Amino acid sequence: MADDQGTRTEIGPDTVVTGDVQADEDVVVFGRIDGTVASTTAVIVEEGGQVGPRVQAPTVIVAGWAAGDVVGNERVEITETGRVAGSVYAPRLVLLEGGAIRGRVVMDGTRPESAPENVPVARATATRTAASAPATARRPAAASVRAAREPVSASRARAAAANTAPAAPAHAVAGSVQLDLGEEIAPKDA
Amino acid sequence: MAETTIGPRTRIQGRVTGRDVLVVDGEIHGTVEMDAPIRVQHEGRLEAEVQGPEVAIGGTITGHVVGLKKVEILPGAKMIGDVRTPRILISDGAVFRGRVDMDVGEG
Repeated sequence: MADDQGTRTEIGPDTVVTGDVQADEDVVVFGRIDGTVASTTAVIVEEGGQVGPRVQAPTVIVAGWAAGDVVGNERVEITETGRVAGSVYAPRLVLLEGGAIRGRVVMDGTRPESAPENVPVARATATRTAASAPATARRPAAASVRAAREPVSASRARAAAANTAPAAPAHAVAGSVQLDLGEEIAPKDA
Repeated sequence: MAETTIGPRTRIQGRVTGRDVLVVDGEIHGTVEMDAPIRVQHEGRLEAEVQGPEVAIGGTITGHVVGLKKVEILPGAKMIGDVRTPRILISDGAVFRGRVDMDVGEG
């Protein structure tokens, strides 16, 4: 999938980008992007990273904080440390225990109206429904062995090198998920 | 020191600021203002106002460059625009069109 040429963009922890980022390679965010991030492969928001008001890629992984629309044309994963305040559009969603969403989850293949055209349209593959509370989100085996502070992108790269596919999501959710996270969802001061 | 890398297949429109070393293999249109060294690699392209303590140009910059300590224009570089810095190195094989202003204090 991604990284087949071994290139990527990495926004460091002490870097702020204000504006639009368009990439044909993975974008890994340890810092902050205020604007739109679109990749034709993947966007990975690492712990401590902040993005918004829009992220779009075939695969979006949030271990940090995302505000606004999170559009995963194939898949969105919110890890144990991930926080999303806004709408998640994805045919497949993984929410690990500890991860949080405040906002809508849309899994019927529709995208926000203003979604750019440069990324393939999501196929509507979600047909099953399941309980949506994070406690029921089954943790993929790969995630439970992940080192506590290791960047998501590092384990992802290793999985790619070992030619193992990421764990398939256990559930599909149709409709709305509303989790009251109170103060917890607020971004940390950069 | 942490690093920010703009990959060869990435284009940024806007403003990039911060305290990380910035390495550009891709494209930035707008403003770049870092408190750490900036390096534009051979494939990198900036159409931007650029400021950093040290700016090393191996690719293409169209715009003004301020190097508070130093600016290096490396072989194969194409620099179109004015440069303001107390120290400047222009390598054999670099293309530079613009003015040089070396009348600034040490950053």
